[in-house]
Amino acid sequence: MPARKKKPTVRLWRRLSVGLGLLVAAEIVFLGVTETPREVSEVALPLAKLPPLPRVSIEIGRDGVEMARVDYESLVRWCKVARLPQPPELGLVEPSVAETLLSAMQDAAQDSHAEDFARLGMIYEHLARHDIAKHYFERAAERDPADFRWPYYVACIEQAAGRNEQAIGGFAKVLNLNESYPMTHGRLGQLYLEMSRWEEAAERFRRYVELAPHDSLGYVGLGRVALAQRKYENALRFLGDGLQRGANDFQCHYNLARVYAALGRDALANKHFDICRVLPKGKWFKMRDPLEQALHAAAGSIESVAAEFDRLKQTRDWPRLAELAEQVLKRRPEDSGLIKNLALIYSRLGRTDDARRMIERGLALRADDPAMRLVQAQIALGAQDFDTVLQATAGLLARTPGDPQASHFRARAFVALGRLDDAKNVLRETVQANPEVIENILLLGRVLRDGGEWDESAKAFAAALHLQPQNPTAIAGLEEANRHRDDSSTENP
Amino acid sequence: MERWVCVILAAAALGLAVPVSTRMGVMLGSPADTSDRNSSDDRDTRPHTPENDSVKPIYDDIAADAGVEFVHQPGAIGEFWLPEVMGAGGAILDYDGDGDYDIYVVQGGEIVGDNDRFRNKLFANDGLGRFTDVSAASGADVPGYGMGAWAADYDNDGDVDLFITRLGPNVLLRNNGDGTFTDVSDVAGVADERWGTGAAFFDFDRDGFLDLFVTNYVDWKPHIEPACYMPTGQRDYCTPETAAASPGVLYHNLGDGRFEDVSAQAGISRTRGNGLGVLCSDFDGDGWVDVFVANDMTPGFFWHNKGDGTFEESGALRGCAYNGDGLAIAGMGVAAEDIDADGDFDLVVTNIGAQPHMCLDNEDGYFSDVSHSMGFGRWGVPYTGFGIALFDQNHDARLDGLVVNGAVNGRFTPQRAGNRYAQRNQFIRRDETGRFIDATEELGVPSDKFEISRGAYVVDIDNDGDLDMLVTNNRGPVQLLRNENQSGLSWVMLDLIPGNGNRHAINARVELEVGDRRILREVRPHESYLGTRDPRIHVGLADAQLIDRLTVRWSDGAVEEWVSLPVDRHLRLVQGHAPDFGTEEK
Repeated sequence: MPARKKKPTVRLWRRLSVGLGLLVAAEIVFLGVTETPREVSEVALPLAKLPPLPRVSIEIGRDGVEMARVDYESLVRWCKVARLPQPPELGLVEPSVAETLLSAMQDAAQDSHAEDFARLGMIYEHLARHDIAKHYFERAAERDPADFRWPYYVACIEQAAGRNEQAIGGFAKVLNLNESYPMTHGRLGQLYLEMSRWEEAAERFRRYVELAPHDSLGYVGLGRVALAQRKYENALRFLGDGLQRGANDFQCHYNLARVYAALGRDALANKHFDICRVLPKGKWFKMRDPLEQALHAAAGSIESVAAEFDRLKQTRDWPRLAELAEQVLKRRPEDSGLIKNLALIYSRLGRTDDARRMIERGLALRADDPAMRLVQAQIALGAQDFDTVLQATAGLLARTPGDPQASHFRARAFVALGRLDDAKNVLRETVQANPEVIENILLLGRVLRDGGEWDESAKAFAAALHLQPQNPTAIAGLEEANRHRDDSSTENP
Repeated sequence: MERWVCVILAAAALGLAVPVSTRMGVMLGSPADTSDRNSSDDRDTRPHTPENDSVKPIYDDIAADAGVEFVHQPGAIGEFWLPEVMGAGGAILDYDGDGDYDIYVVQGGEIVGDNDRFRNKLFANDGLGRFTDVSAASGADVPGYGMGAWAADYDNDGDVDLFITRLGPNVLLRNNGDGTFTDVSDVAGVADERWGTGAAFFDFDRDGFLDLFVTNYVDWKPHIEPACYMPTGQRDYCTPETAAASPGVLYHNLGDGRFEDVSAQAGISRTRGNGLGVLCSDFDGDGWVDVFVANDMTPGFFWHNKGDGTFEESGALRGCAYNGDGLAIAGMGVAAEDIDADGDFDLVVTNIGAQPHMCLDNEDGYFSDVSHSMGFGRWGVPYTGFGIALFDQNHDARLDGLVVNGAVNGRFTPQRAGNRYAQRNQFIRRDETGRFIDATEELGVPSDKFEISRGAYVVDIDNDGDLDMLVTNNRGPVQLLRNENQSGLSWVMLDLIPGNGNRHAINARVELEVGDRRILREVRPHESYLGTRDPRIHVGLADAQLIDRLTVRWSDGAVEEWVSLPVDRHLRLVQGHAPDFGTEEK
């Protein structure tokens, strides 16, 4: 969604009172002050005629998280005066969301621009208040009938509610306004698929492919249609095309598995089911839909920050990721998963002390968490703090002998300390327990190589090649080991 | 409340039931009030609409008035421990064999600490609308942090025993036949220390004794629970993904009061999942009862019974591990009926909010996701469903249902003052296209009543021929919803008694031919979520005056048929007995 024009409104937050006890209540008043005269639309009210915005009280739970409660009765009164529909009772919301909501209400009351109504729709939709969200999107569409985004959101709400016929009608209207937004076709295809209207589904997915030829979604849709029609060869072809565009698209693998299952090729089916099982599922539609992402970002909640963090994970933009994680952690101070992630990000950024502090914070919360100890070992290894690595991994391996990751970190610490025999023992144990983990087999091969045990090293690299025939480290390691074995056999006579 | 007086009538004398099998028998039980059944002219066959149902709701909560007073205690002390939101269930059983169905409800308690003061309760039905708390006197007042209860006659002595899952160890109560129970968990070998959740009795090897399948949820201890959050930053319950999944357990009934854990040799312990709902049925029609397990955020299991004492997990290949979009749903409760009337049992699995419940069409043991075309994508999405019951509420010969809801986290639920996890329950009905629709308001049931509901178990609590409902609520009171159905349409309630084996002929199948319709049912009391429903088979028959043919495939494979059976009554079908045998029980 494009950036909105800045409103000439100044908000003043004023904390009025703070209570004691488990819940601490504070009150905040939003005051609006008009700085310049405004153009008034037919239903708009000048700010001066609007009463003060409803009061917001802040409650602090025992976990220290601040939540806001908008005084409902005054909110209802305010909306009545402002000629806005009666709002739903929201209960507790994030303070930032409450601020965004009241600000948007004020804008909508004054301007009545499509964007203002739509912004309210987005906030309410983010808060799962679908009916009023739909109402505001419809009002936005009335204001600006040429903008495809507002009927698109309405149709999405219908789709999410399972009102398929209404959703189809809505998306058809969207296509009249903008035929080239791919997700309209993607969503329509999905709807037709669910309603067993195969030909219409295929038509939409074909159009999606034309508009977004590098995305797997359209091919998956075509594959699903072919599968439903029992045209298995076509399904295999479409899904194969999809895999070329999204090798990690779980839906590609899942539907391929279903096709193979239908063909009675159970081994291949199980292979793709297994791949599917470990692939990230995520929001298959949402991640492809900028409009839906914009919707959730509009509310200004911490969820959108967390969502951005998740989206950016693959980019390795460590400074930005650190910034986002810090923001989220302020509202989720005991989120051990995020603490682990932030510690690793600090480590990547070379902020070793920060990483250590973060891990200490995590261990204070969950001293027995094996994953936290693993991250501690990983960070300590990067910082060449080998004593900590050995200490952390000793506990892990006592609990789970042969654990591949703990063994790996421990072995690398031993190698760095020159304790090759210890490294060898750790690796032999984990390789025996987890013969499929190639990283440890390769490390074992290198440790044996460094110890001059060429025969054993060759065996290790050969085992790695058995798992991954093209693995370059294994190939090079085996060649080197064989060379030395040949040399030593030549020298012996 | 009407009192059912059991009157056994000689079928032959009445000329109502005509045997066509050489070894068959029927005992016809009739409600005493069959005479006051509406004549066909008087029947109210109107569709239920807000106009004609607005005066009186179809369901009335009579729990408090009837003396069923019980409030579940989750032991929530602000730590947001996962077990707090998962329980608890209950069981419908006739523990004293008097023909009136009694109520057993499972208590939570304190997760850490002394749990002795929190105990399960047994309420005895006097048949006159009153229930008496007989928990202590019966010995069924088991303490401990409970999850669910399953009633079945595991020792084939004719009375119904109780198995209770807990946050470890599980409990087996043997019914002594005199109104009391004895804890035989250790002797029987079923006192698993893990977090037991769902269970079902079934005879997997057809040796005549009920075996037992138990799901374990996750490997959970308080100290492993991480802090989880709502998107708003408030503390919240974690998903089961924060703990390691657990394998299920299969116990083989040795026939001498003991069970043997055969999970390893049967192949059950090979695969782990966050197991909740369990449903046993012969889905592929090969004569061996299979097991479907609804797993919470891990793929659902289809344990195919190979008939040689082993099982093969083939959920993915059979199309019931994931939904149509390839996602492992948050499977909670499960029900199976022949929804499309094609002669096999289709599955419905309840799911977390923001996703539809999963409806799977069964074709010879292979499933396809028909959730959207059957309407489940529409009304279930805002709620987190747990217990589910598919039944015919108004006897119009179309399946209705109840889905009970209650959130497990604040993610999908608009927060509600005081209880952010409470949601409303939904009565569902099929529209003219066959799709299920939310008919809660149509039935006059208050849609503004919010609870964290878990179990939903049908029972004809007053033996008046329509199905009432027991609903268990997490951190709330139990509800007993009496069906005030006034449709006047025909029905039949079947109580199957096998020649040998367990009292209720679990997994026996019944096919009714009524005009041009064929109706398939199964004795399957162990479905829904964490509990046991009325084991009797109830069938709505619309305007039919006669059941043309009734075929029973007993659990041991024997098949018997009856023709021209009367409607509007409780029928007791006894395996292998000639029709005139029923007169002896008059």
